[in-house]
Amino acid sequence: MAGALSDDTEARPPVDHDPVEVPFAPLDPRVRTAWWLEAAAAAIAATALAGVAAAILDFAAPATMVLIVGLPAAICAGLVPVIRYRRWRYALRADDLWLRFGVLRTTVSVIPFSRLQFVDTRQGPLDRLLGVARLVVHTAALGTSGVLPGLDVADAERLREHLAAAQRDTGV
Amino acid sequence: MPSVCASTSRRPSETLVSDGPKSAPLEAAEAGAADDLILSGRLHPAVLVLWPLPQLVPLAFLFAAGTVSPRLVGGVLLAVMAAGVVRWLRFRWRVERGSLVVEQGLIARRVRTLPLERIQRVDVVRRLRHRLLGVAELQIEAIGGTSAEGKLDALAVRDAERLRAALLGHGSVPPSQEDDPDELLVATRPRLLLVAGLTGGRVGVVAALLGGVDQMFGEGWMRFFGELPTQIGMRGTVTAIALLVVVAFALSVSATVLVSWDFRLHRDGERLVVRRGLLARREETIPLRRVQALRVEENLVRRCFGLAAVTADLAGGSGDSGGRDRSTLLPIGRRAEAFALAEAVLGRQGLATELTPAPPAALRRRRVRALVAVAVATVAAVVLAGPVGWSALGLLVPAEMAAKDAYRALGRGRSRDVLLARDGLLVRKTSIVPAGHVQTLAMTATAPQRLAGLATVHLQIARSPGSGRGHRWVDIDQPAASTAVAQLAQEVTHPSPTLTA
Repeated sequence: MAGALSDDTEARPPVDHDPVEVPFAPLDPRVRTAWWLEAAAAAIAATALAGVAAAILDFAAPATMVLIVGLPAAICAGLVPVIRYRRWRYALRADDLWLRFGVLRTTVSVIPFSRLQFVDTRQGPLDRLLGVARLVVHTAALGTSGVLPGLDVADAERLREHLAAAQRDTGV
Repeated sequence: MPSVCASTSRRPSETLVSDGPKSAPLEAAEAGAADDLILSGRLHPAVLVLWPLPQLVPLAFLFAAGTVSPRLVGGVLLAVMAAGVVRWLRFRWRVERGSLVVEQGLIARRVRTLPLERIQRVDVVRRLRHRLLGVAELQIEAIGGTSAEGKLDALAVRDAERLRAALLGHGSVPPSQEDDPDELLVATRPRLLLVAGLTGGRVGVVAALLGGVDQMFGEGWMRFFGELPTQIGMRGTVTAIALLVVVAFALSVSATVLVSWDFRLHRDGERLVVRRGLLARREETIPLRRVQALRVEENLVRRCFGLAAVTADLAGGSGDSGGRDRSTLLPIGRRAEAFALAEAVLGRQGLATELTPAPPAALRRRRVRALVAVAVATVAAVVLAGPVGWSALGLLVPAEMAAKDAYRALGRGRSRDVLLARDGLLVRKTSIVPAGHVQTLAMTATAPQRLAGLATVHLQIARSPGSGRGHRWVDIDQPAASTAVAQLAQEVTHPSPTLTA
């Protein structure tokens, strides 16, 4: 069952304090591209805004402003998706789904199948372009319990069906 | 707008969120649905009118006011209609393998699978606009969630009724009618209520208000107080302040007394019944199965007197009790009483156990935080007020005390299958969470926490939105946190019979 997605992913050695042998797998690399594009768009927007603001409000030379904002923004846009991707791991076990992610604040999240309420797959325009999808799982806990970005579309669909079925099997 | 709302509730209050016996209802659902029900389809084309309505109304207003040209109106209308048609074409639902699957979206595609047995409530709603078009809206609500899990905006009335029957048509649990005699769990004494008012949070609210006034009026406020003695004399000033304090306490006491007068908590079979109030007598019924966790709260003052209050976190309450998700079970009582009540409500023994303190690194973190806060305050004071500002360093003493107290508040433990977590600086809160009620687990670590080798474990239970902070083990050793998460995950899926017995 844990191997439902294992055609293109293989188990990695457990990272720092992983308590049990959790077969963590990385996300589909295409999601990194999506993150890069999103980050680049945000960085460009922030830089442009800073430049325009400097020009209109005349508190600094627009070129200086663009440099001050643009350089760190570009560095962040380049690095953060890489770190984020490297940190992201997920594991599908017999009875639960493990997510491990976070750049500044790291989170390890466990979602037991017996607690699943419903499962969504979602695709934004960028996701569709790149052929990836997000899996969103909900339990009765407050808010969205887990988001697994960057799965191959077919994998995501299969996983959604699998989770719905697993939920029924383990769901008391 | 008149609305007809035919609501069939599968006893939302009695539906256990996390665990408990459940029949296998899917065969029944599929068998029941097998006759002549359409098990998949689109929405009724009437949505083509229903969807644009919110946009059309303002448009009509603008048009009537003559502020937009007919051509623009026509264009917008066309665009909105076209969007509606596309959305309608892309919207499909089906009942398949025990789940309701809803697919929608052209550019951003969304597919939602909602297992039938998680569906708690299906409402067939017919507002005026639906009746005019001869359709019905189907609102589907899952256990413990918000109302937005599923909505089919328009179905033919017959289809809506049948689909509702199919979605709900499995194992409606008969209410357990055990005629247990009422068991009185709590009856507060008036004297204790006075104490509650005097020590309650509302006194703090008044203090905060005064602080707010200070913030708003700044120096004017201080000058006002400075000039007060010259105007009404020293004695007058003292009287004014004393009066203010007395008013604050009087307000607090009267509010507490009004709300909690003759607070009685009964246990009536599988329900808790709360009766309280002086002028308006209120009665609240809380199905025990909705109680997900308890919290024993002791604020600074009450801790000195050994007093505590108990509140309960309730699961998914959009149904009977008007969406309330927290309930007071004990407005005030002795600490021992509070834990005894928790044991009675949860049916467990030995909840008042010693907790494991947090590792020393947690104390260091709090000290660093206190130091930083004092340093910032001192720098600000020196900049603003000159050398006198250095006296702000005197804050180090209370800061250190607060850090130590916050550290001492931290604790975690378990008593058989019940998890205990304690934290809080001014209000010390002890969370009591049966492991079986944990929905998901998470372990988080911020950068400073990672440096200190600490982590926080979140015990996430079924709750409605807006019920405050969750239950957490704050700042425990990272390896311990990892082990705990793995172990609890195991327990959630395979509850150990020896522990739950």
